[in-house]
Amino acid sequence: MIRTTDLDRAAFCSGRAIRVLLEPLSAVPLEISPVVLPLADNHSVTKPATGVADDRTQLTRGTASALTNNDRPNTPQQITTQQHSKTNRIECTAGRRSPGNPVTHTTYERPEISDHDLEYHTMARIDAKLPPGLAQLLEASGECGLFRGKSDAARTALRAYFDQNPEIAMAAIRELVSESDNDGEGMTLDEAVRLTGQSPSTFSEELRAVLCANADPQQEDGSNGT
Amino acid sequence: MEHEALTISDDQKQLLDGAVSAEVFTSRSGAIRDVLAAYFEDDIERTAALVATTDTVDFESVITVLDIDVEQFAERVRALNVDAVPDRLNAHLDQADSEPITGSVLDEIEAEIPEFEPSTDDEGDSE
Repeated sequence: MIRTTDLDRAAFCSGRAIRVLLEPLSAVPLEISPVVLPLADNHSVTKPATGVADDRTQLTRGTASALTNNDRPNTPQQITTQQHSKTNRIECTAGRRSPGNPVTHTTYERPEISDHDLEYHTMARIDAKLPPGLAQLLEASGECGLFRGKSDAARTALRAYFDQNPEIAMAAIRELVSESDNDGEGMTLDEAVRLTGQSPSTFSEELRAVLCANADPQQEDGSNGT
Repeated sequence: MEHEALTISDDQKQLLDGAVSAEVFTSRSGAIRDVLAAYFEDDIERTAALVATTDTVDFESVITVLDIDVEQFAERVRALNVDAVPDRLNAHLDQADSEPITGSVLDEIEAEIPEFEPSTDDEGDSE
């Protein structure tokens, strides 16, 4: 059995060579403490404490194990730093819009919505009367694992429907624009793009003009419409 | 008709409401029915697999609401699970292996199934 008496644990775990251990050890703990505290705070924020983001939890675990196997960090603070950066990357792929992130601001695609993304999207509850055949198929889709549940199946079906029928989505937008005029709250081009998943260039000139006019004054210079 | 409480995104609900206002659909329930029907009609293989592998899905209920080729659909379900297909249709399919298909058995089966008609009392959809 190896004796570890009189061996500094932090220095030993750092993986540094024995000769290095003979150096003054005062610098090792002093470097660790100021880094770990802020990262620990950040980690508690980005950690999926809601229990919703199961995928991200698994990915984080997988990332940690990959780091341990392939490129084992030498010090505790390096582990924390790499985990933190990985967590940020995963968070960006979860659908949240974050400025400066190249993943989320390059497309006009309607965001994918699953049960895992509930925290990022405002959800609405609706009642639908379905014939037995559809109700059975919807229920079976969830039971067999094809979807996470009936609502997930319905969201997927809606997304596919409006993707395949953009003219219906556009007709819906026209109606929403005309109705929003009555409410005094105009729909903006950004909102219309998000709802339809279509590029602004696909909107008619007339509709685009209305949507641009409804936009905020600072966006009326055309920067959001082209 | 069965009541289903579904959670969809606010954006999707807005689009549905806009489409109803544009008279693409008669009601929000009608829209959900059409959208789901289109979804299950689009991928017959997947729908056939659901019918074949899930006891709670009834073959005749499904062919009532979906606009699909019943015989082709039955063949696919049968390939996965013979028991899921009604006996009469099975017998017809067995016979069809050696004889030209007449469609009379399918007509008979479909005639016995009450045609699905969307109700018009959907105005009470909750927000």
